[in-house]
Amino acid sequence: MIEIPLAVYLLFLAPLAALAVGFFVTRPLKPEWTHIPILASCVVVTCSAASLAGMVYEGRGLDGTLFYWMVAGDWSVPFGVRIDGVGVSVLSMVSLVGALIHVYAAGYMKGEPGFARFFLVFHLFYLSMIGLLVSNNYVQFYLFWELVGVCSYFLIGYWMHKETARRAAMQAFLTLRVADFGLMLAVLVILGLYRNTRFAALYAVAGALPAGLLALLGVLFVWAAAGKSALFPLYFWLPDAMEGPTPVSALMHAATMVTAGIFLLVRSWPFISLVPGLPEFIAVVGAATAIFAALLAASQTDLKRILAYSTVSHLGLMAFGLGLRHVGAGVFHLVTHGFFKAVLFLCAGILAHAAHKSTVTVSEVGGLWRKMPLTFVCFTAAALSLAGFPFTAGFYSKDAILDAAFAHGGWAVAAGLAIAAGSAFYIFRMLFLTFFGSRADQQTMEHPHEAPPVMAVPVAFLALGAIGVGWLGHGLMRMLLSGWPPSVPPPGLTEPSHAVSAAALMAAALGAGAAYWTTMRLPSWDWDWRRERPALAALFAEDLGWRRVPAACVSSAVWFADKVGRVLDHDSWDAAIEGSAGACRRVSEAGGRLATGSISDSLWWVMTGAAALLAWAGYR
Amino acid sequence: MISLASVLGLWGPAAVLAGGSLAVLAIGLGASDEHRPPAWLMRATAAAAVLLALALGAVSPEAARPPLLRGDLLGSSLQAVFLAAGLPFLFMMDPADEVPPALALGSLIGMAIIAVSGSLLALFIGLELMSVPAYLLVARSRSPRALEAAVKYFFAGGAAAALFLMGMAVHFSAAGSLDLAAAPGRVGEAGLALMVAAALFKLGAVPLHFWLPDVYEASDPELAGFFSTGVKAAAVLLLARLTGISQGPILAVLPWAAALTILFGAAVALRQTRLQRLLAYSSISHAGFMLLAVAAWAGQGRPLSAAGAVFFYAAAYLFMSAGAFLWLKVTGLSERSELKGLARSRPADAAVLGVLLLALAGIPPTAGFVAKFLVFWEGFKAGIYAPLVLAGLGAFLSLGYYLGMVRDMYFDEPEGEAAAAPEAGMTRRCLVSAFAVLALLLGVMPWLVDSLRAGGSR
Amino acid sequence: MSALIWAVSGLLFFLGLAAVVLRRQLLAVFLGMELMVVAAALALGHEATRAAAGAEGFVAVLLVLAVAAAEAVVGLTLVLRVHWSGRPAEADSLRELRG
Repeated sequence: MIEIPLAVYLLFLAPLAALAVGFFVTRPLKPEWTHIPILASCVVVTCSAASLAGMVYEGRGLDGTLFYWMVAGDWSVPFGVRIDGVGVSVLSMVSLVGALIHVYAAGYMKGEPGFARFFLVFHLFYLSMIGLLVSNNYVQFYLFWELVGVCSYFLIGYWMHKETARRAAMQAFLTLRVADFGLMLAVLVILGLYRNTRFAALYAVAGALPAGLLALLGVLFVWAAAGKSALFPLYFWLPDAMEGPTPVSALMHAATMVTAGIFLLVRSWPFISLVPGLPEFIAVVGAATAIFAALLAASQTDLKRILAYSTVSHLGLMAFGLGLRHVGAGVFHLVTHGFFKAVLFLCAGILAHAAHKSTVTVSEVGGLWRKMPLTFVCFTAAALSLAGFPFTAGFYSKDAILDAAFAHGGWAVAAGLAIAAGSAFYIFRMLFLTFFGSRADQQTMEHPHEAPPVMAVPVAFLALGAIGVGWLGHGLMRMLLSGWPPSVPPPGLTEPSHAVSAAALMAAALGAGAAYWTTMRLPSWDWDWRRERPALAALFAEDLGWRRVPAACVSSAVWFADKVGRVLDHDSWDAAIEGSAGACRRVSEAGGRLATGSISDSLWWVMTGAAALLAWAGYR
Repeated sequence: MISLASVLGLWGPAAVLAGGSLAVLAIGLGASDEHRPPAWLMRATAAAAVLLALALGAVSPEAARPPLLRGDLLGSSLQAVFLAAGLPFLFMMDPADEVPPALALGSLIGMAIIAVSGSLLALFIGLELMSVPAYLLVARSRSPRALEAAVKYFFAGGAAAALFLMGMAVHFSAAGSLDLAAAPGRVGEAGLALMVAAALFKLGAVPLHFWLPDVYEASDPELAGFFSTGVKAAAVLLLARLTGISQGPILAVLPWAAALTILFGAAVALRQTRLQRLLAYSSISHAGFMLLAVAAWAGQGRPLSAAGAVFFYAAAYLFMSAGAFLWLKVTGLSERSELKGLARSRPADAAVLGVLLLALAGIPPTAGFVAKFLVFWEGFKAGIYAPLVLAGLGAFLSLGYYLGMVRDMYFDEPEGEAAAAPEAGMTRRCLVSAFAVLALLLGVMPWLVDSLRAGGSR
Repeated sequence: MSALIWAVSGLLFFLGLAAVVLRRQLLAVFLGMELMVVAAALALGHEATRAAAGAEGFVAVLLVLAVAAAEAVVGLTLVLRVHWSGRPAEADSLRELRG
């Protein structure tokens, strides 16, 4: 029996206690105080995570069972924790970034009618992600994975009076169900084979699995991760999920939810790495997602949507790093990305807050650097980090991935540099459009004001992180070694060669220069090309036509099922949902029509059923 | 050698229930017309009898084999489920006189006999004793259509009983005895087919289900809740007993019947507008899952470990379904359109129903999820893959109305004037909330049920 | 002999079944149901004379008839109540619950 430190229990007990107090005490009595127990729980969780990180850094990871969920015959489902390098490194980032976003949300959501409800679900979201990160078996992992999905559904649809919010929530939920199904199948296959889903036990036997089964498991894991982490064909829901309040977007993009997919890939890496060709496939999908999303991010006008596509792009970059078999580099970028993406979203939230809107577009802002200096400084720090400028966090982690790309050579080099240039372009375009100059095409915001301290302070802290956490790279690698699966080559950061750094820097500078050229030298270029080439603008608006592909597939399938063949002119995914609902409705109506209400018909069916059973018994 | 403990364990529950039923009738008869005995006295007497029966049912009766009877773990654990289902029914009913509590106890006697039956004859008697009071309970419901529902229930149930009887005769001719043992040859299997048809009828499997939505709709909500949990658990037990005497062919049909039931129930529930009818079709779909659990258990050669899925599903469904029907009773809502915007006008009620619906839909971490997961897992072990895929599809379809109702409550504007909340007692509301909490709790700690069951068998 | 009795029983059962499924009057349906029960009881009683453990079969017949009588009381009450409610006691007059 291993000894389980108090910090592990606190990870679960503190949020649960806070949720209980919030739900039963403050929500009915004093709803505007709901955030107080929850913020306290965030502090406890962050401190616990830090102490666990210290433990793991010293190489004292642990993997144990807290209790059993169920025992039936020869199999059981334990509830356990796995405190190892991979889990705790992400956990530290998630708990810290998440806690700061909680503080920010307390200011951002102040005075909203559903304040208490928001905070409770928000904290449950945080708790589920933490539970996911420290799970030590696939069943538990799957449960928290689902819980994360359900919470996101409620948070995306938080402004439920808005039709678009409801639709986005439903779309995210359904897409995630598709992904979850993949994970569920994988868990069932593992259960069927081993009756035991503990990572530690499975890592030991991964090599002994037959190749076909291994390939099936690998593909299922990649399927699940692609949905959750919004990789290429399943990325739609993420940009549309911007309908939620900004703190939700920040938490979802930076810390919880989308990183769960990448985390699943890392957790399952001992399986995936053994499937020939699968890592390369992940790398190609990741690179394609990253370039594609960077291109789209550069064409968006809504601030939050630019950042959403940027998240998709960076998730692709992480998958690219993983696929090139540099797992450590992927995890490193996951951590740094959490910091700078949180800052960017929270700054966008401050702008929206100042404009008293849920979101703003680049047409509504401009030249804000003088009026909102703190926001400007934080945003710039995060933007530099995202673009990978030297000595920022993003520089180190992106360099680690680019190092992998250069080591791989060939197409990976070109893809890596393209991503670096693209990232720099879209983020500097956003920076220039938002904070500099005043353009003829932009309205100026009336009375912009700096955010209140409760929002500004967490952003400032996160911005420090966005600059600084890159220096912890080697420590992170040392942490990762704890509990690292033996069948996978150990993670490590090679000293980035100067050639790679220089190439990356040049790519980033090229992107930033292009952004400067298009937004500052040709101030109305961003508006001009839309006006002059409406066809091109429309093409970008529907994701280079890609949004039409699933719509086309679905509508042809529905047409096939539905002989009437009515033309579906709905948007993309909605067509799928409504089309299948239509098919169900027809089946349902036919079934209901059988229930005529007549006793004779009912008796007739009873006898028919009995006769069918009798006939079967006789036939066999 | 028949020990006192085994006699108590086997006969005890039925005898105590019969005694309780007589006591209730005596209270009613003994009172004069001016001074009717208070309703709570009759309800309390009946509930005391059920509690005593529950306690006696926990006595292990496995060793002894008196004529006609047999005790086993599945029987005693499912007996706990349907006796427990009787309690909220007794608690929630508003009896005008002594008859409804007595009838409820009468129905429970039949179930208790099914639980310990070791021969086809005892099964038949249990089946009839369970059903006949049920017809009368439906007929005494408040709905103007109660009589119609009772007539439909009676005729369909009577025909099914006749089928069971004929099957019994055929089986007797092939086997030479009424014991629960396989009869040789096709004749025996034919007799079994008729009896299985009757069991499927009680369970509400498609296409023998047409009576079910009518009966559930016209019954009082608490009665429908009792039917969907208690009677259903007894029907599952009946079917489980019958699978013991099959040589195989019938067992091969069960998974497909289950898949058909799940899909059909879910598809038709999608378009229901009246809540009780919607829940009725949803209970058909859930009955399909219980049928699937029985089929998976039987397909693996009836090991005790696989019976856990059957028991857990019945137990979890007890909380979810009885909770949902009782919620209807407490809130007085009947149309699905009345749910719109409920979260704003009556947030507490909406939250309780929301939890119950998520549990019914099988969203983790609720009891419904664990129950479905266990069924899928046992089915996977039994190797019935194609029906499992269809069942998964049915479960997905069912999200359409469960989550749809949650959406109605939380994301829609109220239609017209919000109905005023009826004056339901605080204790009743607490009971319904307790069901929601249990539906959640069993999902978080399913070992609770396992340990309860293990404790009951020792 | 055995074949003859089984033939009679089967005939009664299917006559009853036909009445149950085809007739619209509730009383006729009810009679059909009773016919099915009696057919089964006949077969049971006949088999009891052949089987080794005969007593079991006779006990079964007695109990079955008792249960059938109880069922008949309930059934007739229900049919009567339909009659008193002012509707014709026919299957088709009870079709409000449907869909």
